Amino acid sequence: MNESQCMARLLASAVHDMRNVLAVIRESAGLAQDLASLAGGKAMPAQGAERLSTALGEVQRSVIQGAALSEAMDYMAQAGGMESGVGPCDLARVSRSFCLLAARQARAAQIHLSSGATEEPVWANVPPLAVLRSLLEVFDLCASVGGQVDLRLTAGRRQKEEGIIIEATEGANREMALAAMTGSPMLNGIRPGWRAVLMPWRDAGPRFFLSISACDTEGE
Amino acid sequence: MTKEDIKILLVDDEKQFVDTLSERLAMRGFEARVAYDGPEALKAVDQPTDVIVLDLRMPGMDGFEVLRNVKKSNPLVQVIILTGHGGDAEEQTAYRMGAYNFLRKPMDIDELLNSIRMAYRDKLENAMVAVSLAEGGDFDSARDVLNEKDVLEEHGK
Repeated sequence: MNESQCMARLLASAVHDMRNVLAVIRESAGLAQDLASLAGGKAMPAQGAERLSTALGEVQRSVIQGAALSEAMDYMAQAGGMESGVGPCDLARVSRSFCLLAARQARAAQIHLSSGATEEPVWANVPPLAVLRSLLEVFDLCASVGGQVDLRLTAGRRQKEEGIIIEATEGANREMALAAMTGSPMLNGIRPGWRAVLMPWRDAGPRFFLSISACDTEGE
Repeated sequence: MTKEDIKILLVDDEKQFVDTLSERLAMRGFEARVAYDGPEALKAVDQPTDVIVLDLRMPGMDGFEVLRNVKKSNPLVQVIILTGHGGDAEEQTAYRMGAYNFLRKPMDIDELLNSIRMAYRDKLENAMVAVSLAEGGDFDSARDVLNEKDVLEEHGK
């Protein structure tokens, strides 16, 4: 068992526990909502009942948010548990998971992350952790110039290459982020078994294409 | 409040969760018994049961073992997996073993109720198809509809 598989197992175990905790919270909040509905105006004034219902609704929304995060963590656990070099990976799912997992540090860096919808799955024959690492490097590029940019990640293809389309849609530092991504040497990286290349999408503009592909080289 | 005819068995070792869920189902007119482990579940399913809502990871006998035994002894009982554990592989295995649906915690109670109602309707339709086949003399097909024969050859019997 290597470190990555160790982390994957422990993460999967923790995710399972977290889901059970969220389930208890959700059911208990739901029961309180049910009881409040049944009590109506008899047990408490209408304003109080409304406030209680709102509070419990907020609990439910937080639970849903927690559930989405645990889903992304579970995907990390599955990805980490894979033998290296085993694919394929669903790039849309990786993008969604990255946006959820990095959301907290993105807020700190004033970067807003979102994932774009795709009509059909885009599969790449690279480990999901390789894709996550590359996305984190793009994120670090944008954070290094001050953040304050909205990034949208959408799985797609450029000619016959699979990858992720990265759009800097808006933000006070959008131009700085685009300049940082243009010709960045950090991402023309070759690692054992895979390669990540960041290039302009089709023409000069707010879009880049992160191509990630399997290769036979030994890497850095 | 209308009383629903569907007889539900909830199986989960998380007592707080399953007791609360049972209470909420009762408030919606459903009869929902609870079992806290596999052996208790297998005993409970001998009483009239239409749908089981079953956790996967339980100490001792796990949910897959319960599912396998239920499908063998009570093939008409529908099983909905409701678990905090499990990725795509577990989901595929559950379906191959005859589970009706695979839901992840925390779930929305209305989504669960919708799944329970559809599972019950499916159960009634299967029973009617089996009776119809048997009346036509095709007992093998009738048995296959009831036993979901192909899925019983899965998972180490």
